Parts: sequence; C-alpha cells; structure tokens
Amino acid sequence: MAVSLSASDVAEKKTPKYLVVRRAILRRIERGDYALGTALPSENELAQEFETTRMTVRNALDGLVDEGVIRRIQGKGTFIAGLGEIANTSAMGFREMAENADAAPSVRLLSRTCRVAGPYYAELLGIDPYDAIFCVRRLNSADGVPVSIEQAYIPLALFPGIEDRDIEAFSLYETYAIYGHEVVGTQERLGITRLGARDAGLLGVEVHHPAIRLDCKSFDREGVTVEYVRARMLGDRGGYAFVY
Amino acid sequence: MTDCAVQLSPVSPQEKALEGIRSYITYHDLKPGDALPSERDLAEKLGVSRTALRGAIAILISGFELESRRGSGTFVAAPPLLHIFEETDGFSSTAEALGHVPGSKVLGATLVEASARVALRLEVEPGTTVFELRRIRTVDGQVCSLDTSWVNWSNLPDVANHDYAEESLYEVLERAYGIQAAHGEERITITMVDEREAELLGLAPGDPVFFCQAVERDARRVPFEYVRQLIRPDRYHFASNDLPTDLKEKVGRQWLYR
Repeated sequence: MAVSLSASDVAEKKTPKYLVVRRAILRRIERGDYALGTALPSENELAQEFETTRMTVRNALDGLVDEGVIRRIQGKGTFIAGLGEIANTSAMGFREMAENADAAPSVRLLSRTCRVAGPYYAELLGIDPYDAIFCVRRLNSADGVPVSIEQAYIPLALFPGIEDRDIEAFSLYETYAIYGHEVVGTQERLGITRLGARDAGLLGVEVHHPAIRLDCKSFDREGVTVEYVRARMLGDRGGYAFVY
Repeated sequence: MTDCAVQLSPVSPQEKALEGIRSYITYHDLKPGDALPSERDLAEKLGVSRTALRGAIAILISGFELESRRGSGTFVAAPPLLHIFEETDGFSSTAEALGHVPGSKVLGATLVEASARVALRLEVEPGTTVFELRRIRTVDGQVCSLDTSWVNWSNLPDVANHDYAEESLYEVLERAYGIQAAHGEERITITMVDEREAELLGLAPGDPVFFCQAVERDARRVPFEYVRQLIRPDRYHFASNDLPTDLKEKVGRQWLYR
C-alpha cells in the first residue's frame, strides 16, 4: 500500500520523538479517548504502542505532569487530571455554568420530599425546628457526564404549595421569584469531602472518592434565607471561579 | 408551623445522626479540641443506632469537622482559616486578618522560560523569561500550602533579587514597581497530591487538596502574576459573601465559620 506523507507527518519527522508522543497523548485527552480521572496505559504499554523506549515515554509524560494535565500517584499509576480549563460554577446556577463552559447541561430530579426542619436546618434557615422544609435532590450533568449532586432545603412557610409545582419547567430561582422572593445575594462556603456509596454511584466514581463540597445560602431582598443548598462536585469535572 | 396537608417524610438514620452531631456541638458550645461523648452515650442522646452514628462521624472526619485520635475518641477539629473572597485578597492578608502569623519557606526562586501554559496565562510568548517562585506557605508555623508563582519579569528586572522568606511578593511588587492587583480571576478545584507534594505538605500521596490557579492583573488589566497553589483542606477554606451592601450587616456571616 502506498503511503503518502501529509504535512503533519513531515513536521513530525523533524520533531523529537518524546514531543510526538506528548502531543499524541494530549490529543487523545482533548478528544476524550482518555477520560478525565481514568488511568493512562502504563509506560511500557505506551512505549510498545509508539515503538519507542520507556525513557522517551517518561520524558513525554513529564511535560504533561508539569502542565498539570496528568498526575502521577505513587503506587496507583498516572491519571488524567484535565486540561486546566475549569468550568465556572459559582452562584450563577448550574445551567448557566454549563452553558458558559460550552457543555449541554441537563438536570435530573432525583427526589422531592417534605420533612420537619429539625434543629440543624432550623438554625441554617432561621426558622422554627418544627417548621416543614421542602427538599429537592438533583443530579447535574454536562454533555451527559454527571458533574454534581445538589440538595436544596427550602422553608415551606415561604413558598406554600411549592411541593406541587413543576420545578423542572422553572428553575428554583425562577420559582422563588414567582412567589415574590427574588434572590439578590448568596453566601457560599467551599470545602472537601469524600463521597458516600450512593453519591459515588450516581457520579460514576468509587466510594470515598474526594469531592468539592459547596454550601450555599440564597437571600431575598429582605435578607431572608430562601434556600440552603449543599452540592457535591467532582474536581476533574467542575470547580469554582471567582472573578474580580 | 407545619402544614397538615403536606406529606412529611422521615429522615434517614445517618442524616439524623449527622444533623444531631452538628447540633449537639452548637448546642453544647463545644470548642476545637473538645471531645464528643462516647459512642454509646451519643447514640442514645441522639436516638440513633451506633452504626448510623459511626457513618456520620466518618463523614464529619472526611470533611475536617471532627478528628479522631486513636484510643482516645473523637474531637471537634480546629476550623480551617477562612478566606472570604470579598474581604481579603490573599494568603497573608487572610491569616493576618484572623490574628494568625503567615510565613514562607522558599523552595526555589529562579528565572525560567515560560512554558506554554504559563505564557498563555501571562499573555506572553512561550519561552519568554519569567520569574518562578516556589514557596511553602505556613500559618503559625504549620504548613498550609505549596505555591508556585510566575511573574512577568520583563518589566521588573530586580524582582528576583529579594528574599521572599522575609518579604511578601505583593509588597515587593507594590513598593518597587507600583504594581497592585486590581483585577484577577481565581479558579479553585480539587486534586490529589503526588508523592513529592505529599511530603512537602505533610500529607499522604493521593490525599485530596484544593488546587487553585489565579491570574493577577494590574489596573490596566495586564497580567503580572500566575500562581498555582496546592492547599491543605484541613487548614484553609474558601467562602464568598456576595450580598448587597445594605444586607451584609442584617444577614451576618457567622455560619460561614461553621
């Protein structure tokens, strides 16, 4: 079979082998052939595939480690860490965030229940422990890949009948505005946690996988807390941005 | 008041235990270092099984709210320093504002060629000479983060000739060059530390840390610094207080401090 050299092949002929390997791996990560969070083939496997030495592969990978694209974890292997461009999640709400990141957002309603607030949520929401709250649990995905789980706690007294509304047609913020409690500000706290079995299963990772924990209170014009949201987000699929 | 028309669902045992422990700490005003009651007593007080209690304690330990000391029980953990974006503008000022003493240990301070990634953030050509500063940041002598800064060197020829164990990078930039961060963007996610990072931070390989990247810009929006930080989540947390000015006092922000 005749082989014709394309311009890129010619260019690669002049490029050191380790750079060719590095670029090839980078392209695969960009295309998603190697998914975020998964392990890269071993250096031996890559050396065999690219018909080169293990030293050359190591050299190729070193550059990607320095760039933060991949990470070596002692005793576990080399993992795809991402291309460094982190989606902006902030307070803007998940749909808007995913749209900004050029990914198609989707929200799956996991559950909607009412319960008694109890002392913990009563204090967070500034209500009586015997008041009822509405709890909404949602799974957010971008381009079909699960990114975060959000649990919202909403004082029922502020929004009578909200439990029967179609909260998939309107966002929760839109729904609050319909009730006259437009959100004008938020307070957020960022932490790290590890995922329990149920959340890990929904996000498609192993149990105890580390996740970003985002706690957020939203306030209306009077300074009344209209919701408290606790989100769990995977680090390689999302993040938090603050711009000033 | 509870609306009788609403169908109320029971709370799962683990959730009940989790909320119960947090409320117990608040109600009894437990301070960092204070011990929780024994597992048996606490399970009884909260009306949950010991299995549910243990599950909840494990969650609170993984979130750095509690710490377990082998053989002696479970304790309230020291809260991490809280960096509120709208109120302080960096590591040193956050520590100082909360009455702590920030410190630095310089691991490296050299001129390097900007990699593609650094060049992109500093808006210069790859290969341009930049000043690279690698530091361990401490609070009250405890290791808090591992920082690498790249500073656009072309207009600041003497920036490399300072001792950054003694001087703050931002103070040098401001005093010597009149450069002040007027704009910026900070991106925060999490990652797992490799062996070398773990050793420097006093963690185990694979432990999760905050991974922050920030670009600082001067008043004309020209980037002068790109910084990457790996931050211990048990020692430093982030928050935002994005409220209209007239609501800040009314709402307060105590809950952010946990």
